[in-house]
Amino acid sequence: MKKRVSEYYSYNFLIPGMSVYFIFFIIPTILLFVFSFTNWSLDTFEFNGIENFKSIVMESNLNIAFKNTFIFTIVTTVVKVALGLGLALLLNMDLKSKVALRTIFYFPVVLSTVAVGLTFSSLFHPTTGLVNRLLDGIGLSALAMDWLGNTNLVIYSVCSVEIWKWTGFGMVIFLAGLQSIPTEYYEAIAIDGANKWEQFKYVTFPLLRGSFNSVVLLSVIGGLKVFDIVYVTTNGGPGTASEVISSAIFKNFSYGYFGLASAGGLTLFIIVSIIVFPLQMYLSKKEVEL
Amino acid sequence: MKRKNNFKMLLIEVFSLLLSLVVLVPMYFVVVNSFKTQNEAAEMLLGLPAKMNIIENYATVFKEGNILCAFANTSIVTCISVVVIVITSAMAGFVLQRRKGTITKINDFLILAGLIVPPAIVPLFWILKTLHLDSTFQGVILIYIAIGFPFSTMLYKGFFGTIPKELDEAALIEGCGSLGMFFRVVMPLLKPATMTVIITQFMTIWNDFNISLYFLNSPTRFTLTTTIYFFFGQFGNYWNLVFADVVIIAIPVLILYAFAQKYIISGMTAGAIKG
Repeated sequence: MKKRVSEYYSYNFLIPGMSVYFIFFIIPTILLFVFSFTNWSLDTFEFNGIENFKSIVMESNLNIAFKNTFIFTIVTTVVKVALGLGLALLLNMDLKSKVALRTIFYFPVVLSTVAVGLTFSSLFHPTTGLVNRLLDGIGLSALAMDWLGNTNLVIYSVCSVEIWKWTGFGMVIFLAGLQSIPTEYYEAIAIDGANKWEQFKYVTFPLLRGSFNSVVLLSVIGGLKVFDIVYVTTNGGPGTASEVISSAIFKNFSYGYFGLASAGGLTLFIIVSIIVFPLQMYLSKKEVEL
Repeated sequence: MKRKNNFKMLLIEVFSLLLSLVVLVPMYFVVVNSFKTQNEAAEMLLGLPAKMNIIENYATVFKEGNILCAFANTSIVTCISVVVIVITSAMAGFVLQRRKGTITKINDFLILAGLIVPPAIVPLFWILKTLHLDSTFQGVILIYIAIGFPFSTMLYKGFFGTIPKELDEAALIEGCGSLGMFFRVVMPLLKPATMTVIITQFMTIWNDFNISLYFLNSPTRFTLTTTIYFFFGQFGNYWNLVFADVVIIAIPVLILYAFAQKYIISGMTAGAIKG
């Protein structure tokens, strides 16, 4: 008997990829729920109930980490979306240098975070750093600060590095969205007598909704998980002033507090889940309503 | 009217070019300081080097940073991971696009979740230890595959939607088996998707720092990004060498970017919009 065509799309095709994914992603995620309730270190392994979570709530370091993670996520998302959209609108115009400029603005995205982070830690140097020299040079010495040494400022300085690196990514997604908007729409609304702002409000933005949602979601996910850029520029310092959840997990891990580090991982898992899944549903509902 | 418009466009053009300095100046800064002596680089100025120290700096980085070894390590890890990701995720994406049903739904959900939630580092460490893969390249490669698999599968799944099913049927009638149909007929049509997966995964893994920091904690198995740290030390920071190392690490990725820009951009947008 002849096989049905659908049988040729064998589920066996899933096995190679899914088995690696299962062992090295899904099982660890499930184990997180076990390890979080132990005080596992290299030589001991016993259940200790919710002790780890108690320490997480009690320790002020970790509270700073939560606060910084949220600041980082919100600040970088808002600025990356705004700047990315602004750049995309700018470079969607008929400029002579637009192709070169798009390439330049996307450049930082392909660079390694370590390289970018180290470069900025030298640019932010309080006395010899280029940022402060530049401010001195244009007569704004009052604005020159110890960007990575001031405990109130440091997390925002780290945000600016992230923004520098990733704005080009948002720009590219917005540009693709802009280029898919048919010009007839603009002609139609121009006949109706709309000004530039109304054009943006009634045509451009609604049709960019898909791009907007992607940039917001990717930025929120990346922001909540942020690690390397913090590790490289400040390693959570000075003190714990720029600690984020993932850098706190790394510290506990490197001290050998695997139980506590797991509990931190589980907390991050829960935070990401309860923020991102509803956000995704909300954003795609908005998209459908249009 | 026309002249006024031209003038406005010129202003916008000048403004955009000035804005690009925000990106270009730090890059120029890195390159020019990688040409200076240690003392001159420590001043962190933008001027041209008083004394060109290019060959000395780069030779020192290659020698002291053991760059050739790190380069080989990173290349091997990156290439193997990318090849496996391409094959496994193309196969998975194909079946998930072509078949509907409970198994598809469950796998789709697991893969989508992998795009969102962070990897569980500590249990992963335990699994590697249990399998005796801790601090080995094999272990790290398997982790890269597991992390790259969801994004690549979703990307392929999206692209397979554009290939008509009739083509598969034709291949089957011609006497291909499942694997023949897939690798000889369908897969070659997906060159753009494959290019995109190769480039995005190559860049991610080449530039990765987190996974090697956690899982390659061994003095003989270092990767390129970790070599930068050799030049920070008890004798002060050798910024000239750090910057030279930054340039060395960036060059392969920039070359790839220059040649394959359109695939990166189409892939990023396709992946993101379907997200």
